[in-house]
Amino acid sequence: MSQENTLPAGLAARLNGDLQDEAIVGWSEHDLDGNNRFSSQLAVLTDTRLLLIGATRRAIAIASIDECRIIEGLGVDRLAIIAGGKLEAELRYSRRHRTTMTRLHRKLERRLPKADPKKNEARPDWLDAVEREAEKKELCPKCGLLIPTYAEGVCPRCIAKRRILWRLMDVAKPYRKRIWFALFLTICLSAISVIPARLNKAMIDTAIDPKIYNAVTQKNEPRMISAEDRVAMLLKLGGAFAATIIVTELIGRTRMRILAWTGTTVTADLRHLVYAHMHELSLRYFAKRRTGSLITRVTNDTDRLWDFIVFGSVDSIRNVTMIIFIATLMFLTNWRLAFVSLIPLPLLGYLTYVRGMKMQKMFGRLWTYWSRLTAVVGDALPGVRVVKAFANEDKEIRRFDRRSNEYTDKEQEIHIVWTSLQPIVSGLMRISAMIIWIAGGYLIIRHPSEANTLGTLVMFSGLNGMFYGPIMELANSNRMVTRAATSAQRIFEVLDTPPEIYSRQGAAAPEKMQGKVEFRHVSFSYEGAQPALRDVSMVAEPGEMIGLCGPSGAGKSTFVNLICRFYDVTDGQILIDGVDVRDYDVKYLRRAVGMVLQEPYLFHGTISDNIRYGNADATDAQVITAARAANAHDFIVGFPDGYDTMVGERGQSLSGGERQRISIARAILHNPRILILDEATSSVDTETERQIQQALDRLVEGRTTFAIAHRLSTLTAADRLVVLDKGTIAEQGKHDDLVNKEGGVYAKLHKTQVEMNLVVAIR
Amino acid sequence: MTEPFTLETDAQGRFTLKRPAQDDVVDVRLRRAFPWTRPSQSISIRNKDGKEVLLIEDLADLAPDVRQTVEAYLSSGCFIPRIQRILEVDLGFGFQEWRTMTDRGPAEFRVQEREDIRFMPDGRFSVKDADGNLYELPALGDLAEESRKAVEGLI
Repeated sequence: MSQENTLPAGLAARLNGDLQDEAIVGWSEHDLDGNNRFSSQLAVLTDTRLLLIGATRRAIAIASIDECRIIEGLGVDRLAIIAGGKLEAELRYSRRHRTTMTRLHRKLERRLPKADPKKNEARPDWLDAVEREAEKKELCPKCGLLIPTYAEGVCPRCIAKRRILWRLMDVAKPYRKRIWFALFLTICLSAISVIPARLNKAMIDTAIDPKIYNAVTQKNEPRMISAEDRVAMLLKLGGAFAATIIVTELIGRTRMRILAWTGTTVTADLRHLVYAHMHELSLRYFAKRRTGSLITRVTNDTDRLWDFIVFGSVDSIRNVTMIIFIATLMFLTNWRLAFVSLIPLPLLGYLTYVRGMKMQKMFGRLWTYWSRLTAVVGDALPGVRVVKAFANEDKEIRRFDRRSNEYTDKEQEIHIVWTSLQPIVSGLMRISAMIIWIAGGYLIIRHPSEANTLGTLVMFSGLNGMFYGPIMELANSNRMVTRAATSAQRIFEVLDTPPEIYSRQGAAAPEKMQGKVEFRHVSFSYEGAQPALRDVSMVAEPGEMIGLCGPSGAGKSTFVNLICRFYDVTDGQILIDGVDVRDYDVKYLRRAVGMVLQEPYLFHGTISDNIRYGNADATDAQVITAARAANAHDFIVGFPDGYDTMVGERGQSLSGGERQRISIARAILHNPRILILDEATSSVDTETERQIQQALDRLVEGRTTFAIAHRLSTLTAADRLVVLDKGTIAEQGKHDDLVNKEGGVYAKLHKTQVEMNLVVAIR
Repeated sequence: MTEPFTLETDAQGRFTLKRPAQDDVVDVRLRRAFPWTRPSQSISIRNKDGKEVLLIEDLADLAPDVRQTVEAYLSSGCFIPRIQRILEVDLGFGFQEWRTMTDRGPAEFRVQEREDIRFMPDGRFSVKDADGNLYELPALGDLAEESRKAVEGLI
């Protein structure tokens, strides 16, 4: 069966029947031609050939390819295909296609005649199927095209603004009934709000200055009613007025309560959803983003949605219904005056809208200049020591002034625009109020009738005033909707990102773990760029202490990140006790692997809370035992608050050595079978050094340990050293054997370190 | 002054640095030291480990054929399209979807955050899209009216 269906429909068409009874193994688009110009190209790998489809069409037999290599450039990478000793083809692409091209390269590499067969053996059988599944997920189910990596699973072509807000409604679904009730109350409120104005008219026309229309004289003549009756009427109407006020307040309060409660609850639900989902996501997601931006997603963006739910949507309905009710009452009373009232409104709405958009744009830009200004201050003041050391105060002041002036200029611009537009808007409002009086007055003088009375005029004057609020709010509502949609999108972006590292079905979680760790032909690259690890193979027996060393950037941190599946390998396998790490339940695996990091991160809490992070069920006695073993107990008890000392933000500040030992105590309490130790390079005094060393000795006892080692004591104590260089294992062996090796990587490293220490000592 | 040298391309597209009285260095890479402020000066020739072997002080110093080779390499291995016109920036969802015309052809891309448009010292901007590609945006004064309007609010 032809497997052309693995290509999205649009691309499959481009194959144009070139496929000759072959299976498609992989494909990738790429976007640059030989002259580095944008050009849509497609590369398809089958089991026998590499098809290149662009302005020209070519096919290269895999069997003829000697080598395929990715050469990274600036903004452009090239996949070079070398056959018959020369450059047969060069596929160029921007970073957009890096991931897919790198994948294609890997697949091609594996199939080359000169490929290493042992590497292929290290691939578990199910890996191909898993990869195919993952690749299928990258295609949008709706349009069939590749979803770009940055879109995190949501096809940018297929989302619509309206859909986002509907999704929001989805989150509010459990509270549907309440919201409908609140809406009903809103409409009632709008209706009731026009009553006071009507009562005003009644008060004037029937009590204060009662008139009656005389069809004969065509004039409004005073009505013959006694003063007492008039006062009685006035009081009756006043009573109705008061009743209206009370009902309005009651309805208003109930409505507000419901909305506020619903808004808060929905937002809380959302916050939980976002935060909980964030924790499901892989390190890769966090590495690509600023933590600040993520924090605002959980806090600010959810808050903004509350605004929208409570105020935005319901208030828009209130505004629209208000306008409808006011207009209706106006038309029912006096259609001429109603027209006069309504004419300026569209213009007013339009002006408000334009002003809003303009202001928004300008404030946005102003904010940029403000950020730049604060950035300069935030840059120079923490580094004030360096500023003084180089006597650059004047330079810093000039830099600040430049930014400050840019900001001030922008601010002046905004003020000018605001002061030009504002009077127009408010002037228009006042003019339209005046027009009512003149038109109304004219009608009363010239065309007295039942409809044209003083009471009507007063009522219209009041109703007209009530228009402005709703019109302004509606004119500005587009902005709020856009902002809410933006916040909603940012939240849903998190919620739509699938967790990258997850447990497969039937994942293992055995009772006891021995702790044998094996790397088989492991390769890894972070973002499809140069590999951080290249074909690394080694075995660590249970209980062995392996020292990882090498120059910086050699791949040591990557190595340990892969063991506990913070990232998944791009090639090869990591096995623990003979089982691929991807076959273990993720949480079980992570609990079985302990970490002591270079910069121990202590959470805001007591010292005992922090130690207990390794095992929440530990008793106080166990906490103390762990702290003792880490040589931390004595200094902890030495603090006035002992184990109850608060650390972390605004807590007790601890020295590097103290943090290290607490972190070690945490790991001891955790009691993992496999331990990852990332040694701090910061120096501490000899006594503390000795204490830390002793604590570490106790910690690593009996556990399979991978130590990224810097200390000589650790390196000599290790059962075996694994020396990494540029992503591969350069040497393995014991310290004594490697240190004297002629031209050895480790020997060179060690010599440099010793020399450096000597220099320091002499000084 | 830059020391004399030649660059030879082999069948596999790799460059070899040849200098009189010194060993050849195979598979060298070239990089601009000041890509934005001084693109024709201080060009570094590095070996494949990233160590500099020779620094070209100024392209003008070179013999015409060598200069051509160097410039061809640099333009081939470096891709930062210059935006000539901005047709539209759609702000639908808090991301910026740009549709532009560049000196390398039409380009459409997404810019994630405001911070991805960076001010460069001489008034130009460096725009990074969601995939990590970089684009050069001329100073606002150098853009046509329509393009400038499309982009002003974002900067």
